[in-house]
Amino acid sequence: MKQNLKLIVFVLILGLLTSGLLVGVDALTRDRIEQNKIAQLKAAVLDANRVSYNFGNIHSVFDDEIETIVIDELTFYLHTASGNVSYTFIGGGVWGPISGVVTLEDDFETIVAIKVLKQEETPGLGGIIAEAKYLANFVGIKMVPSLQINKDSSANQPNEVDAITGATRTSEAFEIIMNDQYDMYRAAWDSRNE
Amino acid sequence: MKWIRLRYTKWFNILKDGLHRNNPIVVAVLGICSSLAVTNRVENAIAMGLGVTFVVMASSAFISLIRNFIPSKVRMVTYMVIISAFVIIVQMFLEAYFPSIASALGAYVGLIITNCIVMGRAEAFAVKNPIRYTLVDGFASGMGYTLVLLVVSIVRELLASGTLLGYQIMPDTWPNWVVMSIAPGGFFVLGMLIWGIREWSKFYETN
Amino acid sequence: MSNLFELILASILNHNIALVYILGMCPLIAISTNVKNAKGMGLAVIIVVTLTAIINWPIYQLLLATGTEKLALLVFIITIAAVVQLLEIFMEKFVPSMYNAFGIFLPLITVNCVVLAVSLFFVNREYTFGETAAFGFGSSVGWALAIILLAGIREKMAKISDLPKGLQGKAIVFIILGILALAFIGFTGLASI
Repeated sequence: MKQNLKLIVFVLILGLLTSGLLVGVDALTRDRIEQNKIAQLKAAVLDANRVSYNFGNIHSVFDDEIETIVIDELTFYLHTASGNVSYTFIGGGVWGPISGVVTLEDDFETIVAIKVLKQEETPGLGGIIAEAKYLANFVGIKMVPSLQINKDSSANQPNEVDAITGATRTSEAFEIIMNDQYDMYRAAWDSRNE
Repeated sequence: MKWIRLRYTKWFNILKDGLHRNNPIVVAVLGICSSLAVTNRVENAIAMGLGVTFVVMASSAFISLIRNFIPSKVRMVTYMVIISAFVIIVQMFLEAYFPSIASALGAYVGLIITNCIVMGRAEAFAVKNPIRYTLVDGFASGMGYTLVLLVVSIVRELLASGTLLGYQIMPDTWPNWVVMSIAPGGFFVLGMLIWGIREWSKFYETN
Repeated sequence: MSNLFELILASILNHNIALVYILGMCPLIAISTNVKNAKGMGLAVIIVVTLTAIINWPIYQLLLATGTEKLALLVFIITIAAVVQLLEIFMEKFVPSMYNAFGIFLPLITVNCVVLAVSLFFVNREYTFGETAAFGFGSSVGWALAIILLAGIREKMAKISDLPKGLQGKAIVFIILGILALAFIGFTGLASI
């Protein structure tokens, strides 16, 4: 019995110590991580609209060029000069969430740019979903009637993109995320104009 | 020179062990899960290899420090808790202060935590040896692991996309062996590699 | 209800945690030398994974409620170890024959990545309780299926194949696993997870 007690006490102390350590480091770094995420988001929106900035003035440039609109708790980033609209997307990939920024032209149908900010797919395979070279395939593609990420080799329609060879599940998951999030943001955006 | 060799013989043997005789992947067959996923490209293999080496050295060192206090029955849990806590803390620091590195290595973190090599070295070595030997052993195991990852990834990347570290090596007419970029390809290359190394070094599996 | 059935089917076949997600390899390779051991390990994994999935789900909801999800990984590891320990004690007391049959398999499961992976997956995919239970059960059955398949092939090969010495043991296991993984790719798109 005494043995078991010692065991339990040890595990408890270990658990408490490590949890305490983790919570502590989390508290320390949480703000900086938040700031980094916000900076990444702003950089993605500005890059899609081809606005130049540097590390020092990114926030003021963002405030100048981008109008932030909130409709039904959804946030849109409108580039006043060109009419492009951006929004953040998030959804489930194969191994973990995939999130990023989509920028559409003022018709809210044609893709200007997609940037994937966070993903946990297999590096070099599903992970290609985050690479600029692959995401360049989405430029000029239409989100209506729905985005199709296909494996077949037929000539691509204006709403079709090729899937990643060897990463079928990630490509499927990404297609679902894109379409679901688009429908949600589209509904809110349309209601704004009514 | 001879004096140094004598003094550090034990270090040297531990080093040789980790790289060759007890190479974690080829001989002890540890750390497979992750080595299959990350050997599709050379750059991933290098990143993962360095990451694992660092984690093995650091966590083994820590475990070696407290080795006299760990009750025997809960060793495995202790290792897992210490290793996960350590990896998560490192990840949090990277995300806060070096976000570009963090996003590049993001997917590996989960893989490193479950890498059996880290636990294997903790159990087989760190918990029985003082810290100075543990550090050398950690380095050796990590480097042995990285070496094998490199070899496998060079074969896979060449066959799957004709590139090495992103640079096109194969001529444009090379048809990409896509199977090499997915898991079965990793299995096949690893199996052939183990076969080759065992025939060459005559470390057979005795039945 | 049919959604749960599809989830179970998917996690056994086209989302098989061993042959498609390539998790739990270490024990898969180590314990597949004969079918008897494989069956024992498979059964042990099914029990432990399903149990821990069911136990970890309410614990995770508690973590969510108190805003401490960052500790999820740590808490899961500890509950898994506790469940395995309790299971060992329970089996030793009430079903000693089965306990002896399992031998060292039970403590080995603590470090089987499948157990932790199932918990991390239900967090990522935001499953309900029913879905978590079905997913845990299905994934562990899938893993058991993989190890039994592998063991059957290895056992047969040991009897009738004349393998070169360098291939014997781990090397041929990888080749077999590669072929099995290729075969399971054929199930792609069968059921959704």
